[in-house]
Amino acid sequence: MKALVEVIVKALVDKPDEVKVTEVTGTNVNVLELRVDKDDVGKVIGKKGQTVSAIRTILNATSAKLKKHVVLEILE
Amino acid sequence: MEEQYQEFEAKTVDEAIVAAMKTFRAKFENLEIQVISEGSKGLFGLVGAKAAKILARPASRLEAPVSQTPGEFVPAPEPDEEPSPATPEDPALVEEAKGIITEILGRMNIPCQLRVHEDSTIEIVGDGSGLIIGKRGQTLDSLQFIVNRILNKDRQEPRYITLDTEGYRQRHMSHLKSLAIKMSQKARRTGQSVSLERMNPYDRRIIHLALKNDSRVNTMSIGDGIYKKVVIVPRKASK
Repeated sequence: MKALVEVIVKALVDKPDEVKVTEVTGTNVNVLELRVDKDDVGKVIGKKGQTVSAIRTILNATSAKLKKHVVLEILE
Repeated sequence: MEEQYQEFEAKTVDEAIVAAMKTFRAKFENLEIQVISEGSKGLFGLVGAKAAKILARPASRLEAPVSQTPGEFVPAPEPDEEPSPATPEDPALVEEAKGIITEILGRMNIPCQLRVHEDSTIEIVGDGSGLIIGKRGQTLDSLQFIVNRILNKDRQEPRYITLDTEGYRQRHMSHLKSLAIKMSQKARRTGQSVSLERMNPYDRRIIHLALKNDSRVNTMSIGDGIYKKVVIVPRKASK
């Protein structure tokens, strides 16, 4: 799951080396915390959050098999 | 010579239209369709189920030749009505896209093959579970959006690719077209505007185009942002 976010986000941003994803595992929910370079935050979020919601949709499809919720948060 | 209207009956209007298209071996656009009754599932699908009934005939022969070979049923749209942005042949772009898709799907643990169609649509040949399509095609649209974003990150002129799986795009388009017809019937019958649920621009375009030549109704998009509602307004009786 973490790798999936990394692949997508690194391909979207200008500074792929600054992309850091940490996965916090809970009983029902996994939280993915995403950190990117300050200048890249807008690219990851997209116009009206379109890009980040697309990433979340893809994550939800992937996690459907695991019967676990996955939450993606962008930290600044 | 004009063909006579023929009656079709099925569980739903959609199914009746499909039956009509098969009988006349005509595309949806080339049929004149009148809905007699919309049919209903009845109470819990048990009591009072009514069949949907439509009348259909091929539209005027001059502008709509039925060119398909007998037995072949292709509800394909006119090329100029394709809602996806036309992508000229560009093998490099397609190859790049294939690389991105393979990488993402690999990380999603979805084993798949990719097939490129003549119109540069990339089809994901999956296990048929519908996982890639998602609810109302959300997952497929998201995937397509992300792939296009990545493709166009460093491009001056944006180029777009279309993703498909399990024939979803085609199916979805015929569904939207019959929905448009059905709702325009409703608008005319009740004399009131009918608003559809929120849709993305491509889906809205299909609705607008489906009713473009119908002088009895107007269509307009209402709302803000990417997802707007299409409203079908009956025109005042003017013949």
